[in-house]
Amino acid sequence: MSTILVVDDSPTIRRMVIAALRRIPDVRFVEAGNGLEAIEQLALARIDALVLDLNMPEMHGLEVVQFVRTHQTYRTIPIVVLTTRGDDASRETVLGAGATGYLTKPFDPAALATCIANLLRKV
Amino acid sequence: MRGRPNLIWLEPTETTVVNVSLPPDNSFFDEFIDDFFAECDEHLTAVRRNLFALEPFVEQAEVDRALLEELFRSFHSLKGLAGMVGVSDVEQLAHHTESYFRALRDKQVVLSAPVLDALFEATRLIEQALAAWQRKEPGPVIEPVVAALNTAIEPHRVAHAAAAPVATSSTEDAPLAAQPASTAGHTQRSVRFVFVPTTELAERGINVNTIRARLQAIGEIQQAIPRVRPEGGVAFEFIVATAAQPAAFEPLTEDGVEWQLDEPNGVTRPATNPVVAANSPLSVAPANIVRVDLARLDELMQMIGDLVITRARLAEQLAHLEQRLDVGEWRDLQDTNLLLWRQLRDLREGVVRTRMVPMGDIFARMQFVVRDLARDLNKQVRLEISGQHTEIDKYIVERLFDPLVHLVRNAVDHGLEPPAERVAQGKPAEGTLSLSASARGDVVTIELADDGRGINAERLRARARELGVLTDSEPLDDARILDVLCTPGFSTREQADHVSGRGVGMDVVQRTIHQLGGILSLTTEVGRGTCFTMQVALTLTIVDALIVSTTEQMFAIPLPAVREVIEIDADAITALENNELVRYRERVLPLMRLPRVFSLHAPSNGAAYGLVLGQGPHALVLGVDRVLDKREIVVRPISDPLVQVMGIGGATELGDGRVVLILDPVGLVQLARDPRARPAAPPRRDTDGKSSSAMQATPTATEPYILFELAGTTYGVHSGVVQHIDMLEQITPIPNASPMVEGIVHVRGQLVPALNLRARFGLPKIPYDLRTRLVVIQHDERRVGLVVDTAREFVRMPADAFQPPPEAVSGLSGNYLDHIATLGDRLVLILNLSEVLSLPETSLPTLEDS
Repeated sequence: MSTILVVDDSPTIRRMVIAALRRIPDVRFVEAGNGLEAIEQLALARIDALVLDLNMPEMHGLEVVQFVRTHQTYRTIPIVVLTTRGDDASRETVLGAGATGYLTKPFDPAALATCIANLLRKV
Repeated sequence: MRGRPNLIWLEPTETTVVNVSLPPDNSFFDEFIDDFFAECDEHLTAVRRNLFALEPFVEQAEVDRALLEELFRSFHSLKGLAGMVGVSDVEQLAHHTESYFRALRDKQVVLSAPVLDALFEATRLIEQALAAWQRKEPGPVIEPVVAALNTAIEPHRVAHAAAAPVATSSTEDAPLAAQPASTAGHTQRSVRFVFVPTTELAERGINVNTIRARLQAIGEIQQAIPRVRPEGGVAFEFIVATAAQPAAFEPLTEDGVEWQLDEPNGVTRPATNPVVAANSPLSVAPANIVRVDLARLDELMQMIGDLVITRARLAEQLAHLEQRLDVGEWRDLQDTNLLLWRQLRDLREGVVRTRMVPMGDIFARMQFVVRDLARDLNKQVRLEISGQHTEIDKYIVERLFDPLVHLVRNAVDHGLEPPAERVAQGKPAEGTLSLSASARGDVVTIELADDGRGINAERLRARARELGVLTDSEPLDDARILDVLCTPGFSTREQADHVSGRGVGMDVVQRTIHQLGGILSLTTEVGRGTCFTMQVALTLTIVDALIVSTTEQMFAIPLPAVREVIEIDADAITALENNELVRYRERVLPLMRLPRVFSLHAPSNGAAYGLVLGQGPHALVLGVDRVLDKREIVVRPISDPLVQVMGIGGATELGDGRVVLILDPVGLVQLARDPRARPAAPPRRDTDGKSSSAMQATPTATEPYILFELAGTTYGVHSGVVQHIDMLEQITPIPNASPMVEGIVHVRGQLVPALNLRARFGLPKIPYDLRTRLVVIQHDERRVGLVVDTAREFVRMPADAFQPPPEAVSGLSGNYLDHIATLGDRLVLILNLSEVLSLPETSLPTLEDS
């Protein structure tokens, strides 16, 4: 059983992401509505992959990426950033900070599921 | 429509970029469309509220930071949501608005009035674009607003980029948290709080979000830093600027939060002003709200309906036990039954309450309408709102939106005078609209009043005469003015201006209110203003129904009761004594022809189509001539005893003024088993009935009366009970009702039974003509229309005109009289309404009689 942490301030989008990822066998989901909550969830549960929005209240997604990548305990967790608009500057920034994948909304549910399934297999 | 997905993913150790571009799975998003619109709506509601709060900050150096943060967040969320489902115009609008708020928050720009207008416009366009997308129509033109917003930040953006060429700060999604507060200043200390989340704390509801919200309540969070603890796990460190005393941190300590004073922040001075909760936890506390699909609540309601029927059955079975049980046992059973009834009623009310939403949201949207229009028309308008917490059924509030917009626009456009004209009349230049809501019992009253010019009856008369809706002699009272305004095709200026963009006229406003079972009325005074009043029920019962017809009459039947609609071949009907049978699937079911059930003397056979109703041994086929339509109807019970008939459960209005009776499938099935079945007698409060049927006290002062005529005799009723007098238009006959009841009439938003007074008094009926009138009276909580030969007099009768009816007046009509009055050389018979309205039991015909 793998646990995927879905982080987005919109509950609707979290629901969409979870629906898309349900096609992966043997996964469960944990949700967070902002960056701080995401890190709290990382501390409380064993997380195998993150789907992360960038611009959220309380703590920006980029900071979550930086936090995860700088701490030994979490640094191998794959992070797929799912954000609005393909802004090249921020794409380079988050990929530079260590995000594993970068995807813009609207996302293709099948592609997201394939991407996460591949990452889980590698872990 | 929807953008192409764009996916890149990298191995952590490699630099390969893989582009996967698959066609998006459109149907995937469809499942979330309701959620999408609901969430957009939440953000738009917040935006509307906050944009108005922004107005005082025009041209101010400091803008409320929490307000900006919320606005920024709302637009950002809208952008994300729109991007997700691919509504690109909304995404663009939200993007540019968000950028503006970022610039404003970072103090790169100062809010100006034209830009605030642009922000309002952008919000309106987002609403329009969402609506257009939902209807699969092209969206509105957004370029001018986008350009305006861009211009507002353009020079600053360049300056900013040049001054601070930090890569992240100019990116789209730069981190925005942890901005040092410039206002923190001298009076506050910096306190460092450390929170370590654990599963146990999380189970008690203590987590980083709730802690953060609590910290925000005692000061300004300047930094929030997550750290990995050497012993494992994560700790959150919050630097909070606060003037609060350490005692205030005590509850936090109890929940495992440690704190220490950070290094002094500037000159430490005693706190002169305690920290204002500008960052109130409003925006962070997780809302304790669950979103529920209305359809689920309807299902619940349906189940409660079933429960009510089951309880009625139980009560019936209990009644059989009365003889067999001793008094104590019997009373216990009855008490329990009564308790069940009360609890069911509470349950029903509880479900109804969950459908309620406050009027406030729709009122906030009116502020938009007023603002836009006042600007376009160069008028100064203030909208005063009260009663925004009044709650009303979600279904109703949505349908009230368009009528309310129309009334508000009319008030700003036609009602309020231009500023110069107002000043010339000694009024303040700024016009006032007041919008209020209040609930009383089951009725919500919404009032829209303006202090404008009022409606000039004489100017209206000229226009009404052109339209042929008013005769010269008819007085133009408020009710009549409303009738004229709501005449289709009536309009004094409307076609020419932009106000009628929605294609809504007053006739549509009135019709919409009527469809909701509500009443529209107005009061107006020249020079002082006009007030429109809408009264609607708190909640409604809405069902899908089939509209069926016999040659003579249409009926509605609730769709859930209809198992199937079949075509009936005349040859397939088998006669069996007085019954008829038709084959349905593997069975043979009794056929009940609707025209025959209701004794409609139709030339048709009334069985071209069959509706299969009921279950098991009670199943039957109801034969009708045609099945016309399927539609949602509002069920309005017909509660007056005059029109309660087995097999008819209520009535609905089709929107064109036609009243259609709603068949009660349960009643029909019962009628098929027992043609003499009658509806359960309505609960009558015996004592009240008796007291009101007692003779009225003789008037002691001059009293106003309405006089009408019946077969050459003049009758009178006190004008206080007369609601209005109308021409007789469409009457929907009620089959199987007393022959004294002409049917049900739709007058001014109400369904009123029409009682033929000639028939009631045993006089021969005469055909209606131009003089025939319907006198609608309100008596003992009943509203009934009396059909009379003519009615046109209003008189004041002195106390000495009255005398009790002479003993010698015997027979039927004697009971109906309260008094006899002498008016000159005429006699006026004053009616005892309680007697007139109570039909003797024997006058109700049964199916066998007809």
